[in-house]
Amino acid sequence: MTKYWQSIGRAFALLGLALAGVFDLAVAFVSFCLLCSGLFFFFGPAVLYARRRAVTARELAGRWCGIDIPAPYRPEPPEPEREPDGWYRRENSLYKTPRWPKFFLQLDWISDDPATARDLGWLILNPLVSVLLPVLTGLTGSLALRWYGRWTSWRLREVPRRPSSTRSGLRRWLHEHFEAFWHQLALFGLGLAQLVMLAPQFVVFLGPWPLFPTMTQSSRAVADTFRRVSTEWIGVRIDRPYLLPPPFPVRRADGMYQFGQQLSEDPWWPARMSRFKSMIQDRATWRDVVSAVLNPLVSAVLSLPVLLLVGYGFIALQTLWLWRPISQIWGTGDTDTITMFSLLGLPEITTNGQALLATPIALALIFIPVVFSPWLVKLQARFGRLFLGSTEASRLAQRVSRLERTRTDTTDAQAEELRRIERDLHDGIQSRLVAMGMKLGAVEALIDTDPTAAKKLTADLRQASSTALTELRELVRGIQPPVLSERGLVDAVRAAAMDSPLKAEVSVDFDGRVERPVESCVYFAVCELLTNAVKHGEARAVTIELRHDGGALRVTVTDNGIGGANPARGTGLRGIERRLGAFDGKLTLVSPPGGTTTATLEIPCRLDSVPSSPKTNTSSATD
Amino acid sequence: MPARLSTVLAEDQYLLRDGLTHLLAAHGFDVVAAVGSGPELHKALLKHRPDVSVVDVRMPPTNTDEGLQVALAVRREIPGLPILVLSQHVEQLYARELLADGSGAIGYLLKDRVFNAEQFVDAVRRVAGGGTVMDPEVIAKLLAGNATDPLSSLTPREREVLGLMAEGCSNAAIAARLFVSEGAVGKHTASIFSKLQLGPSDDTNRRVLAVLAYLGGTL
Repeated sequence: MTKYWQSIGRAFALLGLALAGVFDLAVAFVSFCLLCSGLFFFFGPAVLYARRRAVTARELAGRWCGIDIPAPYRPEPPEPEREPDGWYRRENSLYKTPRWPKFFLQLDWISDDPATARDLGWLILNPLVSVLLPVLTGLTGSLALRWYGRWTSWRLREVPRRPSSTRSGLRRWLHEHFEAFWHQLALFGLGLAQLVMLAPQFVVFLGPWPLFPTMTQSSRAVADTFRRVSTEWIGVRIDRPYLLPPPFPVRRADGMYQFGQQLSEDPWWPARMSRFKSMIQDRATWRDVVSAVLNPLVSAVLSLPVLLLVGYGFIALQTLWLWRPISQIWGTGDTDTITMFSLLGLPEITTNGQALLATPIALALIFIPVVFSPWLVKLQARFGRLFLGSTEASRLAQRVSRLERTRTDTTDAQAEELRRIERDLHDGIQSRLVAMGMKLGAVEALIDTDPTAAKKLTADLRQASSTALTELRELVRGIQPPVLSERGLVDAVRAAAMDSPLKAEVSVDFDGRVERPVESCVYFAVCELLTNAVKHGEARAVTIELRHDGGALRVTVTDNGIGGANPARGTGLRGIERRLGAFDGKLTLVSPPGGTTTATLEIPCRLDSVPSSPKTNTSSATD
Repeated sequence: MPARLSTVLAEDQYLLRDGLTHLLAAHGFDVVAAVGSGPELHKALLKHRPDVSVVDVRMPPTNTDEGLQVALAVRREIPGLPILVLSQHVEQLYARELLADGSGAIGYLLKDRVFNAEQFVDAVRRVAGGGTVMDPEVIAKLLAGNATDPLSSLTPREREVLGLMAEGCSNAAIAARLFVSEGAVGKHTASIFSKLQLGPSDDTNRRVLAVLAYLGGTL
């Protein structure tokens, strides 16, 4: 019997917790509104505060309801690191103390974690469920607590994101169509935002025009969001068409900065002027303006009818099954109900039978327009692409500037490489050969007078020649590893994996060899990634996957280390990016702190499908 | 003086080929053929079936791993044909390929080892006798690298003994290198064999298998 009363007590405690959650929710909501208006200080702490409630609920579910729920949160971000120059860096700003970088890291950590959204959703729904809890506990005892534990676990557990293909037919249909409907609204909203941004842009263009670049930058951010949403959510790829910003003005010999015929002591004015000029001349700026006017119009035509019909269906459904019974039960004036029906243009419905007949019409109003949503949202995105996408000219211009940059990188890297080889040869082999020559002279002098000393010297000489060979071997390995020229990329990667202290697994899905320069580039990139996994990632095992499909070589290196790799920091990763850039390849790095690191190299290249041996080299062999 | 062993020599650089021919002849080997390319080597090995052969990895016509490929191909036709492979660089990958058939009588050395004539000739003789000779550099890479599971149960001393075994040393030679009695080495090898679960068979074969395990040889 005491157990029964204990259950009742616990049910009330859980109800109290749920009601307290409403307060947390209100705090989180207010802080979110403040975040939207630019006051970002409160959001992080408020969410962390609400998170405490969810943590308590998980603990209680374990202790009272007998259901253990593992905490789904990502590990906390690491402390910001001090740069060698004593500053703390976050993106492109420097800070004197770690306070602000830490604050921003935490904000990112909280807002990126899917568990945050889950917690907040739970806080909304939980009071509705918890209200029933004491009543049910009164009826069924501890069984209700167990149900409550299930409910908490269902809402607060980490749910692996299922690919839509695993859903059953009806659920997939609903998911796909209502998602498309929501995307329609999102595109419409973004179109409106574009239009809103247009106003200040024009004001600064006519008035304080030096502010025009800044304003244009902001409206480009909105257009970029449209592009990203369209590319990632809807699958209509929209590329950024903008030209690269002009280079910063260069200081003249007399210490002045020049723009046109104007000289100034401060670089600010010429920099503004050249940015203004390049933005005015960039066609993409004006295409954005056209898009800002037309996009909301077209989106409205394509999405508002769907929204109206679906909304109308929902209200009709509510009127039929919620307001009608309520007004009939309470008996407060049938006139109200009648007005509502006539407002909606429905025939007057007073009995459940009539309501049952009208229900399919309401349901049809909700579901039939949504049938067209996937198609309509594609139309919206395609129309957006018409003016926001890149043109042939902008693609060419971007390509030229990209090629210019990668060419500079490549020539720089090549020169640096040659310098390194020269230095190694000069300091290593060359000086060793000089020393050996001198020792040989000594042997020549001693061989008749002191044969034992001469003999000892020749032993030294043998040792020295062997050391020189070892050094030469290392040097050759750094330029082009022999196994790479003998066997090609796949076996070279296998050899590198064997030499690494990690437990490595290599899988390959193609035969034959790719172009030689690409082989070398990929090989060194993989070696660098393996070294990183050992040195910084503290990994113990690694898998390397080489695939060739769609005219591109894809190499994926996954380790089980501590994650947190950042290309902005490591010179090695930047070096890989630079090497890959010369072949139009790219490096994608996914490395959440505390998780596995996955690096993917992608290089467009041909595959010699026949595993041919490399062409005969007529110069004398070294081996 | 042991019986003169018939030898095939494959090396594309004339100076080194000539030097090796003289060196081997001076140490009582009968060099029946000295060739400079892969196809010639293939023919010579099949024709002479030498007691031992010394083969360079990189040779014409492709100047890649011609020698290694011929060695592997011929040993598929004539299992256990003793071959000592020489190279300017050593790779674990190649070592495993050479050891994969588990029939012993195989060697893999850096070319630098030729400088020390006595040790080199000794290695050639051990290969001819059915032994396994791995370059110390391969062994060092393995020691620095990943230990596969059965090996982690070995004591450091046993690993040392196994390493020397992989270099091709006999128990007596290992005893001399580690300054212990031959009996102590015998105890270590027995313990290694039991830890690697190598059942009783003839000792040479077990040594090869142990070395294979050492090289993570489940190919």
